[in-house]
Amino acid sequence: MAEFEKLFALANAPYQRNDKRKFIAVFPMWFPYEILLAGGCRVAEWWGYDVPPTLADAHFPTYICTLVKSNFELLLSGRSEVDGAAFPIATCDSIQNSAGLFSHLFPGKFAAYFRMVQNPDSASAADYLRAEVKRLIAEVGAFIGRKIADAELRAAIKTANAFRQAARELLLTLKSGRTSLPAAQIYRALRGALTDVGPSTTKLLGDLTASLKVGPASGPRVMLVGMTAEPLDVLTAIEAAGAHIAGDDLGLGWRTMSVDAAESGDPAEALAQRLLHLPQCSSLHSQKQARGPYVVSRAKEVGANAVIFTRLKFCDPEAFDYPEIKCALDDAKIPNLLLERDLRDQAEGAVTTRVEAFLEQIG
Amino acid sequence: MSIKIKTTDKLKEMMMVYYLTAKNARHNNGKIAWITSGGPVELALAFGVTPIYPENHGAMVGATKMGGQLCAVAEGLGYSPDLCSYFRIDVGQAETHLGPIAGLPEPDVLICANNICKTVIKWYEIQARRYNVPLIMIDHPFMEHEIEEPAVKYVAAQLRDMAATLETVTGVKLDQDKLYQILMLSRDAIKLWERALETLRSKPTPMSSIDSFFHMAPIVTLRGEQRTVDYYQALVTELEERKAQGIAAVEGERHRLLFDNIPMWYATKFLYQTLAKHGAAVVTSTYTASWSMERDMTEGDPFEAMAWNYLAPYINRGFAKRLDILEGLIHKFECDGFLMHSARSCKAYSLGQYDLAEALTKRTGKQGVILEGDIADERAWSEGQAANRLEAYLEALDG
Ligand code: SF4
Ligand code: SF4
Repeated sequence: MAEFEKLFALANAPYQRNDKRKFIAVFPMWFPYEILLAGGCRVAEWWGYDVPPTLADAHFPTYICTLVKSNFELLLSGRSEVDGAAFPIATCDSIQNSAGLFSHLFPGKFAAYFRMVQNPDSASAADYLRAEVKRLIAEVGAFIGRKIADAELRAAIKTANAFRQAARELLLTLKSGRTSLPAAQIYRALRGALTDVGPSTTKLLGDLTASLKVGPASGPRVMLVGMTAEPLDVLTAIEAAGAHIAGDDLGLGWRTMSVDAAESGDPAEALAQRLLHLPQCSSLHSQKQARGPYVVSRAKEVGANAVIFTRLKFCDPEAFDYPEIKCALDDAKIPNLLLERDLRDQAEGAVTTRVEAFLEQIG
Repeated sequence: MSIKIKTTDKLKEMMMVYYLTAKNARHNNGKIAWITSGGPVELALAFGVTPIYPENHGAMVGATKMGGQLCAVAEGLGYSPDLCSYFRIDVGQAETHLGPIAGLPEPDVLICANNICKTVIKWYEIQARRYNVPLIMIDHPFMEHEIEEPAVKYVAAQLRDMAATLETVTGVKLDQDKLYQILMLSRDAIKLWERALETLRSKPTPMSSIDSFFHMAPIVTLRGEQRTVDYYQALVTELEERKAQGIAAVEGERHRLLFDNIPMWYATKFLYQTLAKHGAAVVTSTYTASWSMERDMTEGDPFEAMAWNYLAPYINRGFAKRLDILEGLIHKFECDGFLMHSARSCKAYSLGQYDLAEALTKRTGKQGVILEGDIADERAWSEGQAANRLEAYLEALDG
């Protein structure tokens, strides 16, 4: 099976157990999953799936994003074979409340939550974050039935760094030119890899990158902005309209892959420091840098001359940032288009037409 | 017809004076701080700033049914209609100066505590950029279970940072004695507010919780002030009298209900009247009970005591704790059922309600009903649909 097919298989069945490791579904984003890796767990970061929310609808109001709902659908449908779930509380109000809901619905399963600081400029943030990382290390230790050693944490940091490095290299092929695999498949492969963060998927990502042929790209160079570019059929529509996807500022993309943790020294400190030095993100508060200028600079970095926002419906963090980013892009004369969809949407005529019209304008 | 609560007139007058003074604060060389409803206002007051609560303003706009109009202004600027309507109203008023008090006075500083939701973080970031003023962020970690000591220390440290920033903004040094006095007044007002809410335990209840949604305005906006203590003293006295005389908020009270979430401000009258037709009174709510105090802020280190209390609100707690609180209220106020408002503005309050409702019924044997709506954007409300649901529920309660 080709590398990408193995990764697609993971993307299609993120719930499937493939060995004896404890299997944890991690909700996005900024959960220090290195701690779970250090405890020998399988880390599956779940970015939402195209499944009908038949069962989840009984637990969530209509105005909750399909990322959260579809993750719960996998859990509720019994398809999931996970031993627990992890929730980075700071991502948004929906994920925040989901942690307790998960414990209520699945009382026998392990539930981990992590509170990323939202005041990184405070002098006390580092101390709190370190304490929070240590609390989590102890909780995961209690779950696996033994203390997690620093050496294991350091090894896990190395593993996660290598994974992120491989993901970055794959994403950078997009910047270089037109890849032999469509962009939609590249993001799908990454989503698959994220369902088992570790050496085997790192190798698959590396092999996939090596197997890609990169040719010259023509047409407008588009950067994607949002939490995720899913549903990925929009990427197909963009490429079909003659444009090239040159890079992203996506949670399921460059944003979460761009920063690594120090591999030496105190591992709890290394994890805390990584979190304190994350790039601009709609889920993080920063007084110092607004996201608008950051997105403009990122567009310049990937050589994009257009931006498409791929926003999930009911995603508050991205919806709050949008007008400010749009203004910054307009000021920088970077044409941009907002698409708001949910994970179950098909690239129906209207979306395709809007993408085509937008790209035609850029020429 | 139920007999009106007289203190309500005082409330109207007090809120009018508050907003008038706030609007003139600039002319009197005063500094204005916009602050979230869960913000540590006592500390701000110690620097002599005038606190303004855009959320309270949002509620006022909602109650006057101007929410849709102001929200539409924000939507025109690119903000999604799915974002919190308090936020959209705030953007709308800043743009247009429309609303019942013709817009809020501009801030000199913003104080944001995320112990109510993550929404306020983005909201205050946006407004800090608009007005180009400092933003004081007090990060309150979400307390899934019990209140954790590292979180208390973290919040307390940020409160000390906040004092330092306010010294710069106002040019005033923190006066510990003044802070102590304010904390005392805040404590006294909160205790009186709790006493006022306690009177709703009696049968019949002397006040509906729907009224208490309005009477909570001073505890939200003016805690730490003598006039607030006086106001709640008057309210408690009147409620005790009503209780002694058997004056009912709802004539022929037959059903006692709990309300969960922020109300649909534009439809409180509808709610009261529909319930009253069936002899149903709302006697407690998670919302009004949020302004309570579990640690006396005048004892021990004031920063740590404030931190502890500000980590404690219902909305900063996880599912299991919320369920315990709901169950406690059902028992304490001898409720026969509950109403939940699934408010599309407020994911922080609303996500989990379906399961909370089911679990609450399992634990207490009481049935509930969930009404879909919004806090201040009346466009998201269908009175017909709500009436049908509510009537069906109340008929079942009638038996
Ligand atoms: S898509 Fe947005 S709203 Fe949904 S889980 Fe992610 S951050 Fe939260
Ligand atoms: S209504 Fe909810 S989302 Fe809006 S500010 Fe209040 S707590 Fe936050």
